[in-house]
Amino acid sequence: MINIKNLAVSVEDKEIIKNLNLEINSGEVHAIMGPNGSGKSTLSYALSGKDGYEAKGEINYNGENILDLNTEERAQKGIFLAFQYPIEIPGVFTNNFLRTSVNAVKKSKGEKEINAVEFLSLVKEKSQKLKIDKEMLSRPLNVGFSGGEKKRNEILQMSLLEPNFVIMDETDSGLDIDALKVVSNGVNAMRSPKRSFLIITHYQRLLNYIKPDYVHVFANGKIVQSGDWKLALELENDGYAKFLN
Amino acid sequence: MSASDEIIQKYQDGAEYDHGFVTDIDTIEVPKGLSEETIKFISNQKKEPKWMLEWRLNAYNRLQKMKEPNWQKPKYPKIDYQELYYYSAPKSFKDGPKSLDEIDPEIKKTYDKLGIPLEEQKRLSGVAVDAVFDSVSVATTFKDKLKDIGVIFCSISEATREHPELVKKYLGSVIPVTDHFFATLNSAVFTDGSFVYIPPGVRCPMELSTYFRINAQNTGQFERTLIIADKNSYVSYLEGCTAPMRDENQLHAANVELIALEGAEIKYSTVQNWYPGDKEGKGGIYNFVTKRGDCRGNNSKISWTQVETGSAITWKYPSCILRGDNSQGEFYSVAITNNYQKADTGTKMIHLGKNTKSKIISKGISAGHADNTYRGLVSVHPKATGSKNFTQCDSLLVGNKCGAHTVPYIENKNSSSEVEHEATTSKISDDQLFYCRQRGLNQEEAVSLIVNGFCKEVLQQLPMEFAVEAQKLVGISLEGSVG
Amino acid sequence: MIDIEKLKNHFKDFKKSGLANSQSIKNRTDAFERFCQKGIPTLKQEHWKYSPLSKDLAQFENLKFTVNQDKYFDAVNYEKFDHYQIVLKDGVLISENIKENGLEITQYKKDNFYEIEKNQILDFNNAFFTSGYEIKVDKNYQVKKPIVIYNYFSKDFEGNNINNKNFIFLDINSKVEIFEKNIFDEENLIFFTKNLDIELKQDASLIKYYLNSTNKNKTIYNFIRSKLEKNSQFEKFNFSHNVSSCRDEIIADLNGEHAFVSLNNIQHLSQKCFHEIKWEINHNEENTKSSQFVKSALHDDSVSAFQGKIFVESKAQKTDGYQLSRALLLSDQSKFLSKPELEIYADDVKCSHGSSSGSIDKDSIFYLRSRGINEVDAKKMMIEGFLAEVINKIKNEKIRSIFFNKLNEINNS
Repeated sequence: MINIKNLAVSVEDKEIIKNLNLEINSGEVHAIMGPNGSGKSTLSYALSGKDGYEAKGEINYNGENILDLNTEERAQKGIFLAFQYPIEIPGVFTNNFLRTSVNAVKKSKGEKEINAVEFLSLVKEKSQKLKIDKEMLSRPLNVGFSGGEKKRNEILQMSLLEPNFVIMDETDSGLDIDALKVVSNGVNAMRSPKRSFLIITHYQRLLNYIKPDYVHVFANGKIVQSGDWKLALELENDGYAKFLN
Repeated sequence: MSASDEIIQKYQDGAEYDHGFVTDIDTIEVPKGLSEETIKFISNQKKEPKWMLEWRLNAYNRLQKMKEPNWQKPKYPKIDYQELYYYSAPKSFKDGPKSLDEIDPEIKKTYDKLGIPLEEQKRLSGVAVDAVFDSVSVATTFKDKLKDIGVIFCSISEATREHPELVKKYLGSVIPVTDHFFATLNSAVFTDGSFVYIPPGVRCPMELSTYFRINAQNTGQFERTLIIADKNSYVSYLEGCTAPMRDENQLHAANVELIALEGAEIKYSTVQNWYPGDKEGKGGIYNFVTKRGDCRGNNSKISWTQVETGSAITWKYPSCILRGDNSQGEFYSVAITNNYQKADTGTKMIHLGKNTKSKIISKGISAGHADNTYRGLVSVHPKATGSKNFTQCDSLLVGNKCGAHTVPYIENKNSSSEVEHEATTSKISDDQLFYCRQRGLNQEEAVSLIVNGFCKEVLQQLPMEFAVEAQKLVGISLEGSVG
Repeated sequence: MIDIEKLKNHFKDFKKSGLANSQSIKNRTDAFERFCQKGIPTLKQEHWKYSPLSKDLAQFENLKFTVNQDKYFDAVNYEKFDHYQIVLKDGVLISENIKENGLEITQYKKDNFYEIEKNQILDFNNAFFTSGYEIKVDKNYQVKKPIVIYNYFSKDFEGNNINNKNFIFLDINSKVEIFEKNIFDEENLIFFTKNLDIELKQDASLIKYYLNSTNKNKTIYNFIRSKLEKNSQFEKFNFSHNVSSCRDEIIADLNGEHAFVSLNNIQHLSQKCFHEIKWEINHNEENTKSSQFVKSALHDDSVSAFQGKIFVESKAQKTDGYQLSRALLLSDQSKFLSKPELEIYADDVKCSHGSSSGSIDKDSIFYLRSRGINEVDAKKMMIEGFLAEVINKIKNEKIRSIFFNKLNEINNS
């Protein structure tokens, strides 16, 4: 589904990602692990098309090089980024935001937009599964939400938009065990042969709940080693020291 | 009365539209410039009683001794008051566009984006509308219903003839004739406007809108509105519309006076989108309005809600004089300036009575090369014990070529009162835009969503039909400003 | 009563008196002409809206600028801690010049005659100033002892008009703390103008404290203009107590990245006192920061006016500007007038201001009284706590205790 070839990403003329090559097939779950400052978040921003991130090379998504597309075009094609620090937008109510986003994606696919009533029952169903209090939905987006509530809101959005490629940027940061379980269940419920995940994390803990098919170590701007889920356990024991020079 | 006078009279009183009279209208000479003759002509055309003409001439005489003010931030080129026409004859459809295809495509695009129905679009652009009979008859049934409960809603000229005792009692009692240059000018040459009177204990059953006042098409440059809510009554009044209104008159200097007697409440909402000028800022309308409300009776309430997105220069301070004990004044405002627009707007809350309350929520959004100033005064008189004020002014800046300013004057002369003022300045952050776009919204939709969130508290105050249109308008006004 | 004509004669006499050096006469004359053109400040002039000096100046028949030749200053007035002394007796610098290590204190010799539009009292000061101090700190020198400036007004001063000009210059990476206080031995009618120019070079740091207490019959106008270069810091703490008619005006130009200015003022006014604070902070470069903090306790017929402006230039992105003014109106006649102004041309900034005024919170008084404290003491405690928030920002322990002692003294009187 996604084939990254010779990707180089610079921010303010500084090269963060040097030469990344990665292929993710439909239905696969890949984890990228690496020390702080290695450029993991840069990868997630480059994949979602954030301004300020100069990317060279090729990111092939279902046969199309998405480097030519802007942020919302990539989102409308089914790429979803679960933010490490979800943004607060005062005055914009969560319910309203969710419906606007769902309809924007539907419109781009030529599908019929969903009305307020239909949407409410859809959201109710999905938020109950994620143990999200419906009161939270009538609050302004992420304003005053605890870390755990913000992350659960991200997973709710993911379940509403039904993307094909999900990038999770350090989703586990700031979560306690219970929140971690709820989030992981939400993610696992969405695993399917048609959907791929790229999980970015530097703690192994999340991977106990969302078992990856492949694990890659990211250091010095590129992938330095790949393996299966056992590699994550190795890192847990030995740390990243041997990959840094 | 000559034949042509009779025809004008019929037209002004909202009689049936007759295609035949058009040619006759063309022959009337309309005087140019400001003089006693012009004022007499206006008064005559309006068939005003003698005391009204004297009132106007008195204002005109005082005007001779006054100077145009120059302390405001937005400066404008000098206006030659002798070059203006102070009376405009009703428009003839002969000269208007034959169909919507002939109007400026930019304007047509805006109409479509605002969701304005085609018939309405035609009316706004001056294309002859077949359905004019319908709107006249709708208006007539509406007026009858109001008459049954004693509500008077008519043009101000009609009021001077039909209800002179009310007009004499209240006209000029909130905005004195000599208050300032533009108020005096308006008092001398006002041509049109609304008169509303709600009798005691009556809650006006529908929102009164200028649209329903017959012949609202040709809004005068010097409008005069007088709204009186008698004891324990309620009225909600709407003015303006979201569609961009072009007008050959460059200066709009209206006077609006509101009087709320004991226990009464007046809610006045404005959505203004006058032509702001082209992308270089040329040719836009100057919107200099004086609006003042007098909470004359105890327990009365006046609230102003405004969404100002048009005009080259907006210069207005809807104010409340909180005279009666326990009276309340509210001011909710969204002022958006883009390209080269300038706004200097705000409010004055004057606390005179005891336990009076005022609330000010002002949201200013500045983009392009525009300049947006909030100027306000909260004054608590020494005798206004137990008064409270809360003010929140927030500015949103888009880009670094625009300016946002806050100039609040706070005068607290009473120890048992509480006055609180907060102001913040922020921008639409790149992170917020990126978040929305990653959820599929394009740049424009994202800006519209964020800005509407910023203005939410004010837009909530608008009556329902205005609120929906206003939200769309807010989104459109910032087109092209981000990215 | 003073009017322009009388002042013109006074100026003629002043020029002949020899109090001004001959090189400065042309500049002084230009300044005086500007003053005459703008006239004595009145209510109608926006810049003087809250403090038209016309009423104050009406109390004077004539201006007398005699110079006191006597240089005696009682040592009992000196602060008890180790410090450098600058003594101005009736406006004349009587202390010795100091030149040691990296610090130099001398008579004022800079002769700064700049003009500020709409500020004709500055022009007045430019025309009539006679004396003042200059403080210069060398590159990289951190002055170990604080400097204390004593503005002493003696019983036998026969004049009624004093005009000073002062200058503080901190070279790159230098640091000094200055504490200024007014000492009044008399209650004569005096019109006092003071203009201080401050220049802070890169990385320099200045903390200045000003204790202005109990000045009967004084009309004081203080004008400070400060220029801050990259990374420099200027902190000011004022304590104004029973100043009869005083206006403190400060302009801070943040001309280098990461420059920081913090202006703080406590006001405790009674009787018919009037105090206006007018601050203008100009953020001219990126990443500059400012903080304005005023707390006022107003009794009797006192009036406090606060005008605080934050101006942000279009290139001054990432500016952080903060302003807070709070007033307690403790009598039916006291007044608080405020104009917190923002003028912003850059979009990536964090600017906020808040201003509130009212009476002491009734619930808090009730809580204290329910714990056995009587009403009078409860109110005193609340006022003290209210003003203490500003004093607690002072890091220098000695100065902090001086300010706290003053507050105690006032509260217990």
